[in-house]
This record gives sequence, C-alpha cells and structure tokens, in this order.
Amino acid sequence: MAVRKNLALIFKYLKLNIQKEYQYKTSFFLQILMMIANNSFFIIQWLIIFSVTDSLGGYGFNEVLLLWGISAGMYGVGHLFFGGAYHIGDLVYEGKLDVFLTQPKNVLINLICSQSSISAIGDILYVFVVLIIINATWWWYLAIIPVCIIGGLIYVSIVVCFQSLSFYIKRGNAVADMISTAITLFANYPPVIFNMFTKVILFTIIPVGFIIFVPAQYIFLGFNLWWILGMVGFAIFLCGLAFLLFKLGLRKYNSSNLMGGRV
Amino acid sequence: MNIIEVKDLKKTFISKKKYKGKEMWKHLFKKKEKIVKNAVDGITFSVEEGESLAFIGPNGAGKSTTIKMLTGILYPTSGEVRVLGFNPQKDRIKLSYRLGTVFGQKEQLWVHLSPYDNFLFFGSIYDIKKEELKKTIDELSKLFEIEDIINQPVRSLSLGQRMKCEVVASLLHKPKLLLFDEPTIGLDPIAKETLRGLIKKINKELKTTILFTSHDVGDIEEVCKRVIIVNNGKIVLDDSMRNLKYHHLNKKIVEVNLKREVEFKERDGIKLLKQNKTLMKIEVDMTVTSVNELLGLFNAEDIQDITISSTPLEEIIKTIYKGKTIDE
Repeated sequence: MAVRKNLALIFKYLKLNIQKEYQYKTSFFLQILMMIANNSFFIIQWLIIFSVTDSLGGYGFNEVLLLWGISAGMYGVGHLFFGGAYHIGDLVYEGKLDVFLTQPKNVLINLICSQSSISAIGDILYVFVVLIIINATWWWYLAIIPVCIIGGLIYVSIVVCFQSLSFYIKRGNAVADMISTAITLFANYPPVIFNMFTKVILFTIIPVGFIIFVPAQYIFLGFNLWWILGMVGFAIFLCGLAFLLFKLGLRKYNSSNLMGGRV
Repeated sequence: MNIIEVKDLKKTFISKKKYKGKEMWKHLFKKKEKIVKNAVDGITFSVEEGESLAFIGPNGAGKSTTIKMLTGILYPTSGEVRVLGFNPQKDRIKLSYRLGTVFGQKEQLWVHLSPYDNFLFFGSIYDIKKEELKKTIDELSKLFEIEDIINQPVRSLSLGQRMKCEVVASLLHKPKLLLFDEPTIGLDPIAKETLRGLIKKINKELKTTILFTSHDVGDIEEVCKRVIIVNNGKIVLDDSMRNLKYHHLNKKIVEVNLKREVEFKERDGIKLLKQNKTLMKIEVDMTVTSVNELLGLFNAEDIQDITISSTPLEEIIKTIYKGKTIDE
C-alpha cells in the first residue's frame, strides 16, 4: 500500500513538473535536444580514440559507448524522477524543508521527487540513440532499462547520503557535488584502464563500479541471476542507508524564516 | 477538549561565535565559543477546540519556533507537546492529515500552475478522493470568492489573491486546527481586511480551531478571542482579548482645543501629557476618575473642539513586550 502510494506520488510530481515546464514548449524541447547533442559529442571523442587503436583493454567502440549510455541513463533517471535530491544541501542550509514536513508524506521521497530536470529526458533518450548506433541486440535493449533504473537509484542514494551531511556540516552539498561529478567522470572510461588503488576507490567511496561497470559486465555476459540480485541488493542497501542518514539528520534541522516560494 | 497541550516546552539553539578580522585568524584552529540561545524557554499553555488564539510577540520572541514545534518541523529540546492528541514529532504524518498550516513568508503553491491544478495536487498529497476533492474545491472557491482566478497561473495573481489560494490549499483536507504564521505580511489594507474576514469565517462556519501569529494588531483584534504574548521565549500574558482590552484600555486620551489659553492643574487620575498654547493632550485614568470630571474643569464656552480616544492596542502590546504593565 505504502509502496503504491509512494510510486503514485513520484509519477504525480513528474507529471506536474513536466506540465510546468511544458508551458514553455520551445524551451522544453530545446533542453532535451541540447542534452542529446551534448552527450553525442562524446561519440566523436571515442571515434577519434578508436581510429588509432582497436581496443582499450578489451573494450571496443561499442562497449565504451554502452558504458556511456548506461551512465547517461542512470544520470537521467536520477535527475528526472528524483531531481530534488541534488538540492537537499541548499534546502537544509537555508532552512526550507518546512513545506515537506507539514505534508503527510515521507519527507525524503516528497522532497526528492518535487523537482525534475527536463534535460534528463534527453539523457534517457540518448540511451536509445547509443543502442541504435551500436546496433544493439534485443538483449541489450531489454537489459539496459532495469540497469539504468537500479543504477539511477544507487546514484541518487549516494547523492542523498552526501547531501544529508548538510544537517551536520551545513555545506554537505559541496561534497555531494564533487562525488556526483566524480561518478559521471569515471563512468565514461573502461574499468580496465584504472590501477588497483583507483579500482578500490571506485567500488567503495565513489561506487561507480556498482553503478556502471558491474551492470555493463552483466549486459555483455548475458543474463545472470546472481549479477542482478547483487545489483538489487546493493541498491536496497544504499537506499536504506540514504533514508537512515536523512532521518537522523532531520533531528538536527533548523528551520528559517526566509521568504520563499515554489517555482 | 484540548486541541493543543504544551507543557514546559523548551527549544535551545546552539551556534558558534563568529570572529571578525584578526580575531578570525587567531581562532582559526581553536575551539570556537558556543552561543546558547533559548528561543523557547519553558512555555505552558493549552488551546480548546474551536478557539481562535493569537500568539504574538516581537521579532525573535519564539512564536515561529513554537509553531514549528507544534507542527513537527522542529524537535523540542525538552518539554511536552500534544496536538490533536498526537506527538507532532513521532506522529508527524498522522497529524498532518488533520492539521493545516499557512506560512505568510513561505508559499506552498507552484507559481507556474493554476490554483486549480495546485488544489488537485494538494488533494492527492492528502489522499482525498477525486469526487470529494472537486466538491471541496467548489465549496471553498465560492466561500473565498476565487472562482474567476482559479484557472490563472499563480504567478499572475496579486499577493492578496495568492494568500487566499494558500489558505484554500490548507483547507482542502478539512483540518481541525489551522496554524497561521503571519498570513497578512505584505498585504495591502483591503486584502488584509478580506483575509481577516475569511479567517473569522473559517473559525465560525467550519468550526476550525485557529492559532494565529502576526505583528499586525488589527489582525489579532479582529480575528482572535484570546491572546498569548511571548517575549524572550517566555509567556508574558495569556488572557482573553476582552480582558486585555478591559484591564489595559482603562485610560482615555482627551485632546482639547480651547478658544483661549488657560492654566491647567493636574489632579488624581488626570495627567497633562502635552500643551501647546490652546491645544492640550490629557490622559484620564478611568479607574480613578472620569472624562466627565475632566470636562468639568473647563468652562464649556471655552471649548472649541474635543477628541476622546482609547490607548491604541498596539501601545499596550508594545508596553507588555517591554515587560512592563501598562500602569507603570
């Protein structure tokens, strides 16, 4: 019941955010197209690299592009459905959580779903642009959707964990932004190019490994129940951790009387 | 039945001392001095069902902090709070279904959407069935006279119209208790008057208990039957509006303009506040004497003009804020 209600809330917010942005149609479509174009520039970069080498530690052009596709997909899911997660730090710092705290919904879900980045639709569509370019098999099409959703949930959970630092250190969003940038940066390169030390970091502090590399391996190797259970398990663990850290932080919340409104 | 029960409620904010200039560099790696501020300092009160209570005080008195503890936004440092039988911090979600809040400084409406779309959204937040929600929106739109603006984007509405819509949004789930935190802030006199009338209507017709904070004495005088005045986190007065007026409005100010200059001698209960040739401003303490007695001191033929007024409520509240009684 609670899951159904929260899912309904997520889609209600999405509908409202799209409705809000769609009032300015040109800007709405331009944001999406610009994001697809922006992501597509990386295809040129990799075309140049692969014109001088056939493979990068066993990763060919198609595999690298798929990595980039997963990265864009999970980034898109995170920013489209849970765009408010990236603003937790600012809202806590400015004491603007009051509206969410007076409504009969889970504060974290209510808050992170309240904002959407429309350009994230471009990120999600870009996944399919990549699949078309690399002439993907039906399995890749089938596998990439849950992978992007699970990856998106893990990504947002990490962001929430670091943004929740704002309850304690006031400017936790600076750390969260740095981690978020690092995730998207490392996600674009095949894991084989990193040394052991970097790999340890990429599976712990900045867990790009679980968001991109493991899912990509899963797609390349075909269906494997243990891979998918591992990813789901990791996502559940991180979501739980995000809820816990946010809830603990909420006790430290200091409201403010700053003028404010919803736009 | 008590809707709100507050016992010895305290909220302390701890911050670190900020240093400037050279002092800042000296304390860069040192432990900074802590500053403890008791925003709410052991207040106790209760509110009965159907009451309309004004919770007032100067800036920083602890009004908003108290309201935020009543809604579950802030956790108290110590003390007990029960609102509609719930602990606001533990049962925040259950309480939210029965509680409405209007923050004058914080809009909850989405400005790019119409009030109607906003109401539909807020209705779904409170899990109200569509049919019931549409009926409630219709009823409230008529009551608040917003039928002709309900489909315009919120951003194009005037502040007064927006505030009306904010109140409607807070009433959709038919709350038993409505908390207003400075709802008339920034409104022009006409919009204020309309909003005050509507809040009175909510209290009378919908039987909703009202707790109201404002800096505008007019709001309080018109809307509320009971007043709690807080200062420095403590309650300095908890009384009915009637008693407040009766006990503190016992002085009259008489302004007399005479045809010729006369020498005036003060008496018991009669005090000359100002004299400018033929113009005199006199304070009459009604517990000691009467205006009639004052007028007997003048020759009726000398009086050119006379004005009798009560001490403005604003003055009384200002004096109470300062911690003095009005008689001092």
